Amino acid sequence: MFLAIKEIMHNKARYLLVIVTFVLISYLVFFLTGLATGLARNNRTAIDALPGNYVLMSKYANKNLLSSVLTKDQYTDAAKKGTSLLGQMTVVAENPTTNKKMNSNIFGINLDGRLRPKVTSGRLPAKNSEVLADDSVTYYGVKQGDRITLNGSTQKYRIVGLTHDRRFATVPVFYTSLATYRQIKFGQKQIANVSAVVSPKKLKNLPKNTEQVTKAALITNIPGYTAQTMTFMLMIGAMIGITLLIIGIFMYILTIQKIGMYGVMRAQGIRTSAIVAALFWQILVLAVVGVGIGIGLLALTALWLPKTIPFYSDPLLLAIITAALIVMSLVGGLFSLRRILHIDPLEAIGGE
Amino acid sequence: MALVDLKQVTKVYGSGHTAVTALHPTDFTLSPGEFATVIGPSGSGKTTLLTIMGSLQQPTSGQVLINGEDTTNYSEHQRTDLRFNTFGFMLQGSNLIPFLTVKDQLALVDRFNHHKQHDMSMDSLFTMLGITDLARSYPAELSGGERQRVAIARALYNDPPIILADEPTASLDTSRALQVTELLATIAHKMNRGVVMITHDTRLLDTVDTVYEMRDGVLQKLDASGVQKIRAAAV
Repeated sequence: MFLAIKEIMHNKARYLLVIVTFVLISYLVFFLTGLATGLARNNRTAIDALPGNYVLMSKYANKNLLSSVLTKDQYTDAAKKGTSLLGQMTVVAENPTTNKKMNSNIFGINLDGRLRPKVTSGRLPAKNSEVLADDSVTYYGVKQGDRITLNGSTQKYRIVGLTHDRRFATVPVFYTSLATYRQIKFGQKQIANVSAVVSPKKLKNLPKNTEQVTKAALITNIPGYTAQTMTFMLMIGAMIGITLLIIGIFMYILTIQKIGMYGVMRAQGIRTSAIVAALFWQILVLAVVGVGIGIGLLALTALWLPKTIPFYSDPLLLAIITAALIVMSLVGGLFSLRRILHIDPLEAIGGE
Repeated sequence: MALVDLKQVTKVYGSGHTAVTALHPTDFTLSPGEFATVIGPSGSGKTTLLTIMGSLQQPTSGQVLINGEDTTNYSEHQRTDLRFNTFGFMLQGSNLIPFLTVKDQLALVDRFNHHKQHDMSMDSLFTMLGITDLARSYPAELSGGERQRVAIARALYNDPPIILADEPTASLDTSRALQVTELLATIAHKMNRGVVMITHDTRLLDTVDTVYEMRDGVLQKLDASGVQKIRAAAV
């Protein structure tokens, strides 16, 4: 640590470059991770909140909730105690006073049942013309108390309450009664169809033309979800791999420049282990400082980012990525290790 | 007991047709309080001799006894520790670490030598060598003479019984070179250390106890007339 710190302090400009590299890489990785997490969450929080791990849906729907329709015949057997009916519909909500439109979803539910979301502000709908909205609707120009139209309806729906973290397919969810959902989706309340039945247990006998999928499968089959997360994961993984290369090569070049000096140290009887320790301490110090600054920048960015940008920093995930970056940079130090292990103290002696 | 005792030591580089004998069978001893110098042209094998003495490399044949102990077959690890504890090196050019201040050059020794009491404290070493004011300077800020005095301090700090100096005066003018040589003589005579200095500079032999001449890998001890002869030849 002594050698590592002394050298960094003496060659500030050189090591500042390494730190700046760490800052840029870590900031980029953290930012991508924040976006990936935010986007993934925006796709799935409403599904994550479902009270049961199994979802019964149409077999033809390809595990895509948007396409699933269960008729009363199909769901009656499954709709027992402990299960919940869910009607999903993709809609455009419009604020009729400002004419601002937003993409959103309707989740038609039994408002007294287990699917009922936690109200963070206001109250649950009491009438068919009332809805409960995910609080992200406020980013799109509507607030609690406003009236909206859904899919150009003449009927106006009042937002009587807000809930939190209930998005599906990246857009906010409006919770309505099943009747309201049926009215909007099928034009009349009497059509008793739903999209899915949520159940905490696996069903033994599946009704005809249905399948039961897990919540996880439902999420990965949200259109675009897997493609998005895979793309981000590939970028993040590549960046972490690149960290290894960049830092490894950087430290290798610095090491080669110091071979003569290391030879002198070896001649003076300083053990190789001390030199190796100095190298890895140095990488650790540079990585911790660089990644630390990267985290600081990320925190500032998160303050400044508009709420409509899907950015979410998950502390656990950031901790894992921080650890991965630091471990990778230490692994990068292995490039230099071979050179250090082969330092001949005779290299310190010039001449003959 | 001799500090260094080389018995029929040889060094051959390469093998077969390309073999080069850098050192023919050589005997050499160094006693405490002795200031020995090896002079000779470059390429004569004097640095090879020094590196074998200093456990920096192993001889092709022969025996190396340090403090009476046969170190010829020491492992790399044992030789590293031997160098740390037994030898103070002054190498050609600078053997200082560029990013450490003069004080830290010595403090580094303490890092690897936790319990040891020093015969001379850092301050008294600096006073003796006249480098107290340089304690906070980096090697790049020092003159050649100052650097060599710091190198002496570094070499002495761990109280090694043996100081090995490879051309310590190479980059110095005559008066500075004489100062460094006198310091090495003082260290040998007053502090009872064994000092071996390699040089090709025959002006520096006044304070030296024993003079060896190395030519083409053959070491020869010079008597007073021999010393006179090479000094005359140099002038």
